Amino acid sequence: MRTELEVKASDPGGGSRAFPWPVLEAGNGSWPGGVYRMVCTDRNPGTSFLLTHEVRGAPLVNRWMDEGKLEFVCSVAAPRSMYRALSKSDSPRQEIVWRQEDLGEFPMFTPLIVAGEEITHVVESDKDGLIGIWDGRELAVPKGARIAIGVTFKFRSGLRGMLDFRLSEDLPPGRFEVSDSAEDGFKFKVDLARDLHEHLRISRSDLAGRNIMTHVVNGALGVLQREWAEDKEGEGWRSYRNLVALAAMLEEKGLPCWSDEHFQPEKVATALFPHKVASEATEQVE
Amino acid sequence: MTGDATRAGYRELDEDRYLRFQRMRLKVKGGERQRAFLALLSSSEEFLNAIEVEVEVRDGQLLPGFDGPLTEASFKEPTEDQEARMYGLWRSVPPRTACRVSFWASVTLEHIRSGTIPHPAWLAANGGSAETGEERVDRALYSRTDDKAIDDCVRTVFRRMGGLPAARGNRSVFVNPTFGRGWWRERIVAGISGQGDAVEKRPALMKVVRRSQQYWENLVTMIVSRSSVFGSGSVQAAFINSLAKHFRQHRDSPLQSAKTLKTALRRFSNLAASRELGVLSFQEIGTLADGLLDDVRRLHEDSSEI
Repeated sequence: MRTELEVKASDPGGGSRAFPWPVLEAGNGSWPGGVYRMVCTDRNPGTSFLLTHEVRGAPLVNRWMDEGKLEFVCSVAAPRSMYRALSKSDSPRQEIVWRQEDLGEFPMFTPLIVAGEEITHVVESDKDGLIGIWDGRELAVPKGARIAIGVTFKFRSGLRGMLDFRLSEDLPPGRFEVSDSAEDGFKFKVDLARDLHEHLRISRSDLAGRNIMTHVVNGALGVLQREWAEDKEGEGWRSYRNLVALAAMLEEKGLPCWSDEHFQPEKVATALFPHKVASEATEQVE
Repeated sequence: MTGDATRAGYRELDEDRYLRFQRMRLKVKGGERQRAFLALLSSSEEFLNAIEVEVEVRDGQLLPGFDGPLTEASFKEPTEDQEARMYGLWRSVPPRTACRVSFWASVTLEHIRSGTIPHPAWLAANGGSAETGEERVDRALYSRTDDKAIDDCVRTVFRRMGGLPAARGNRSVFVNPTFGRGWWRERIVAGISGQGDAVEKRPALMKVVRRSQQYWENLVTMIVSRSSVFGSGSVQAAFINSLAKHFRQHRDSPLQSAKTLKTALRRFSNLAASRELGVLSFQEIGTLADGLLDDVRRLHEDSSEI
């Protein structure tokens, strides 16, 4: 599974902060055509992934990268359990690893490129790709200075992360269908009628949205029970990392796996995502 | 209180149901639900039953009970030695469990069940007040007009048991429950001690995290809410270590006040906005923090002279 994220200097953002060195981040005009691309691959749900940092349109950053002056980092944060860790690497391709038992929630990741040492440099704007305002300036960049700032992201969690919602114009209002797809990692295709698709797009967490989601999860678990109960010599569900992780999550919660004889999809779906009724769901704390 | 693990994890209350149980008792200030809840505090058996009728207990490994003597005062504010003993007993609990109010609430209930906490009304004792929990509950219940007193009492009970995220957010579990707060303070200090030989001694570090409830809450709030500042464990550790060193060198520093600490944390936050401090060594972060704390001390001392 591959996830690509991009930060363009031309994107709107909070880049108006006045750092005494140029920073590649959204909304910062220092490198007008600058792009910081983060590619996540080889994801091992719940434990690790490979992160590749790429920079375009900022020649000075690329030069510093080639000269080994920069470090590639990614912060892993789970505020719920006060977990904070920083993965550091000399290489733009790094493995990000965390310990699930230290976390109370799915972690947030923020990739960055920072100065690995103190850097001094006199700007030649044409050569460095910086706007003219920096021309001739002598930069004194301290160790740890943020040079390129990525986006904070979370991988979508567990079963919900495997749901691929699609609009189906053929379905009458109020209907949906769930099927499996094993083409690019395992996922569920969820074809939705226009009204359901619209509703989930805007308000997945209101009362109706939550209940539709529970129903969809029930459908997905039913597919697993019907089609993926067997694991023939490693060619079945155990060959998909996200299904292995899902089975581990069910076990951790004391719930049966779809390969178990007595698996009941509705029982597991409502244990994971209990239906809410109006009186409970609309409770407010004063 | 020890028991065998029946499945992975530790025994705890069902989180959704427990949080719902809390919300239902916070809906109407001074209402019947709140009064009935406070009335239960006079009997361990009734208190346990009332919670367990509504909130499912998820079975799992039972923690060893706290084996030191507890009084109402020391349950409200355990001594340093008691907190160290709690952490020693419960070190194996993973943070992903220790960050749940439903877990610490369950631990508290088990201590009521075993008699280590002989009176559930202890949960209602508050702050620096000389009033016992029982006196506070009585005063609230017999005042027919003071709905706020009743609501305050209910909130104290929930906070002390495991935390009250509905009112205090995620930081509640680190700040409010007797057992949880002690565990997290000890864990933070253990993390600092693990940074090498150059760190301050344990008593100095404990003085920082135990200075006052508000002091601890300010530190926790910054760690929980600002991942860009305390982006790694070493940054947290170095900052608290520098505070300990600062107090050793400046016994009367204005940084002893929670308000001045906030100023220092804001400045540290500004520093971290431009630099990822986690790539620096523990010593390098410490040098930056030392300088910053000294600046804040001088700034406050100068302004108080004017």
